[in-house]
This record gives sequence, C-alpha cells and structure tokens, in this order.
Amino acid sequence: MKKEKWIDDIIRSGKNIQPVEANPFLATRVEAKLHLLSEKVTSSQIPIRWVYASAFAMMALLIINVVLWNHSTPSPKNAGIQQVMQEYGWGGNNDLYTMNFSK
Amino acid sequence: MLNFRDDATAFRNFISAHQNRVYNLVLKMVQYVHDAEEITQDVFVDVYRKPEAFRGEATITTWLYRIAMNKCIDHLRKKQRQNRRFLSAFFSPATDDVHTEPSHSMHPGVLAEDREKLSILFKALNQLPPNQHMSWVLSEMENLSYKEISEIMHVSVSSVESLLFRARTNLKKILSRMYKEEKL
Repeated sequence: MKKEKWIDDIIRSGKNIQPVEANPFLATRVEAKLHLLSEKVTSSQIPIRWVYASAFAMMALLIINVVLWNHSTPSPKNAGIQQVMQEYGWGGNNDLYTMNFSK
Repeated sequence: MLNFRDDATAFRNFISAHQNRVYNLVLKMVQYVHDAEEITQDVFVDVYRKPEAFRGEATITTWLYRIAMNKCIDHLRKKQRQNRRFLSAFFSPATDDVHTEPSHSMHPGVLAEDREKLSILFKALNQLPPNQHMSWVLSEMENLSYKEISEIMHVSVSSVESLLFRARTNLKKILSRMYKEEKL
C-alpha cells in the first residue's frame, strides 16, 4: 500500500512541471548555426567523385609514362652525327689519301 | 508552403511563436538544459533547410513536435550508446556518472518540493525504451490525445495505446524496484 502510494506520487510529480521560457537569443543562435552550415557546405564544394576521378587519371598517366619509358628502345649515342656523316659520304677515318673514288 | 529563405523576419517570428513549446517538450525528454537548447536550435535549422517536409497534412505544431521527438530519440540513443561504450567505467567511474546521472535538478520548471520525486521519475523514464519514453512524455506530461501522439510518432492509434500500456507497466516495475532499493 505504502509502495503504491509512493509510486503514484512519483508519477504524479511529472505533471507539476512548470513551463519555462526558452533562451531569448534562440533565433540568433539558429541563424548563426545556419550561417556556419552554409559556410561548411561551400568550403567542401568539390564532389568526392571528382576527387577520386582526378586521382585515378593522374595515376593512369603516371603508369602510362613509366610503361612507355621502359619499352622505348634507347637510341645509339651520336646517332644524329652518324646520319649526317653518312649523307655526306664522310668516312669513319680522317685519312685523305685512302678515300675511295671508285664509286 | 513554408519557406523562410527570403524572409528573415518571418523566420524570426516563426521561431518566437513556437520556441517555448518545442523547448519545453525537448527539456522534458532530455532533461539537460544545454542539450535541450541545442536540440531546439536543430529543430528550427531543419525547418529552415527542409521546409518541403511540411506537407500540410498535420498542424505545424504536430510537425515541429515530430522533428523534435525524432531529434530527442536520436539524442537518447546516442547517449545510451555512449553509456554502453563507457563500460570502461570500471577504470573511470566518475566519467560514467556524468552520463548516467540526469540533471533533473537543472530543470528550471521543477518546484523545489517536487525535485526529489522528479529526479526519481526521470531516472526511471530514462530506463524505458525511447519510443515508450516518448509516448509517456507526450501523453502524461504534455497531455496530448492518442490521435495527436499517433500523428507525431507516425504510428496508428492502437499502437500508441499499446506503447502507453507497456510504458506504464514498465515504469511501475522500474519504480517498484527503485522503491526497494530506496528502502534498503
């Protein structure tokens, strides 16, 4: 009996709460929060998909470069000079008297 | 349709018209003044950012209550998760007390003679599942009808009845356990 009364008293106490006034600056704080949220949105405008896409593209370019670099045949040293000498019919030696004029 | 994007004055008027009602409801649910203020602010932030969510099927108050209650439930669940995570209370019991001990004494609307009783009631309410807690607060503290509660909670009237029945039964069980502990 005593227990029932105690429980009822406790439950009834919930009905005696007086309404209170909210913070008078609530509207200002809401506006500040909205401002902060809009700033956050604009600062992180780049979609994550684009970030991933550009990172992937850069990686692909790098890999292609490395592969091409490894597969290209190294040109012999002085290849350009040798080509010019061949075109002008200059020999490999500097001996004027052994030049072959039979051609 | 509500849209305050181009009218800051209208938004301020809207807040001042509804803030006390929302704040008092949230305070009854979460009991901490600071948490209640934060949640009330978040409710109005949602109103500003998602005005299309109000379709005019219910009253504005019901819609605001619904947003507030969803936020309160999220908050209570987060707190319950934090409490579970604070099993390390073994090592730092003081930290755990901060989270489990409700600050009913901080509720500004509590009369001095009711303070102790209300402290026990809030402790018991916090042990109920969030939806039972919510239905009990809406019915017993806010004196809303079953229909209004069903609109706020997005459930049928019969579900509200069953939720309230379970809430009352569980609350009595918790309180009778607390009575025994108090008398020991």
